[in-house]
Amino acid sequence: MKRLLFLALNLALILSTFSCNWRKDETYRKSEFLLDTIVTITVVSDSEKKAGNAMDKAFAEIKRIGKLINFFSPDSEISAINRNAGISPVALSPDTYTLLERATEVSTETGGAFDMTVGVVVNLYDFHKKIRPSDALIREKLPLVNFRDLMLNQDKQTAFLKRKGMTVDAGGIAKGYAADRAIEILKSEGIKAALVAVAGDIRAYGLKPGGTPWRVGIRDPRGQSMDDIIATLELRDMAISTSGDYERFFIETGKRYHHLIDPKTGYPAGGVMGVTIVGPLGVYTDSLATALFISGIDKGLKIAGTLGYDALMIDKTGKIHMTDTLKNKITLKPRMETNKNK
Amino acid sequence: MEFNSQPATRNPQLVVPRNSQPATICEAGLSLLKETFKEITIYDWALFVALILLSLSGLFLVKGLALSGNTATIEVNGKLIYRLSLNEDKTVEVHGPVGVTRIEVKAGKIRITDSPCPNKLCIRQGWIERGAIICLPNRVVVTIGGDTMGEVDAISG
Repeated sequence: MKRLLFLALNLALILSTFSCNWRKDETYRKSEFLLDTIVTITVVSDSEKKAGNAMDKAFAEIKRIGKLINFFSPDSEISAINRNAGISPVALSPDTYTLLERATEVSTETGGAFDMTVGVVVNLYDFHKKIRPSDALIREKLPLVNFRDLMLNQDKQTAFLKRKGMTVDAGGIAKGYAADRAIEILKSEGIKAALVAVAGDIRAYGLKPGGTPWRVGIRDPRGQSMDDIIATLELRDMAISTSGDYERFFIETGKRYHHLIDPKTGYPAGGVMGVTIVGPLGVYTDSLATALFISGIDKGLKIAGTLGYDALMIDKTGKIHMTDTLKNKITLKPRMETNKNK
Repeated sequence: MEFNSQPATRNPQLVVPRNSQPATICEAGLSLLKETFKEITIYDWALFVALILLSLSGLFLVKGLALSGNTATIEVNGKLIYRLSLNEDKTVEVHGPVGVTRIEVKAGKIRITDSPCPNKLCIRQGWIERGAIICLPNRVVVTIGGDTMGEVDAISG
């Protein structure tokens, strides 16, 4: 019996080796412009057709989510909630409800550092025309920022903004959620390994052909170009997100005004240049990256530690701070001195 | 109306469990292997080694497709417009939703020389020999090599 099993093992070994050689695993990559950014999906498959089909389905899923949560489209469910602020609750599809529920969890967990209602203040800044609002205007609008006034009813799957003039925007969490959903689709299509990058919100699973893990770079917040990275790490069945003060900003009299507005003050959060978070789900890494940026180095690292996430934070002087859990997983790159403190 | 804006309990999915090493199928397989190897003879081993060598030889009989890092693709709005050899110096123009983007190939490198986008980030990126240049406003993606991104597969930032 044992001998039979041994022979069977050998036979399996031979067959598996030769069958692998009939159809070789290849990497297929495709990009589409969705969610107002570029989405790149990379999959490993032994069939171009299978890879193409799976990627198309994943892109279609991201497109579907985009339609539900598009802040600027009058047809989206987010716009329906905003139109009915102070008037009535709005019934939501499962995706939108889940997204708002996850966002509320992160807001609660971080003491409001992540707040989906901060848009009324963020939108007073025009980063393109380099215009910032007056202090009086910020003071006037700030009372409309409070995630606790977004009421969710689980039984009825509805959302309701308590006061007129309030808005909710899923922009700070939707990209990570979309990456999660795309990964689910690719897995259900039988894809053995994939990487989904919704701009900087990335989630990956499986191994590349040749058995190597996916490798992701972390952008240098003061790099010359978008390709300049300060560190690399392997991504094994994990999501990674980064928030930085270089995404949308302008500089006025030497001060940098960026889009990561502290919901408590109405002004750009100080003290941090960039934050990167690694964890199992994109929906959480996306929103926690923003939350930790707003929270600052000490508080931010504490939140990451409590929740069990890996975090890398770069302070205003360019110094890198990390959770202990990340130190042996990351490869830091030598940086140009000129990039450190600008 | 019953509202529960604040989650009453922490969602277990939000917290990452520490040192959660899922038991793998490999572990089960290994114990079975150990059992199997207990009662085998030198002849079995000889056979086993011979078969392994035979299996491995199969790997070298099949040649993988060489990845080409010396071509560039230019896509506009997800559609492939150009596939260029980097060995041939030339300049091409593509039309995106905002206007005309001009792309130059020279000495094995590629760059965007002219773009209608407001912030000109794509032009500032300069010459690249690997990876990609993405111009978001004009929906232009210039990628080098069919399959390789160079050092990393993606950048978070």
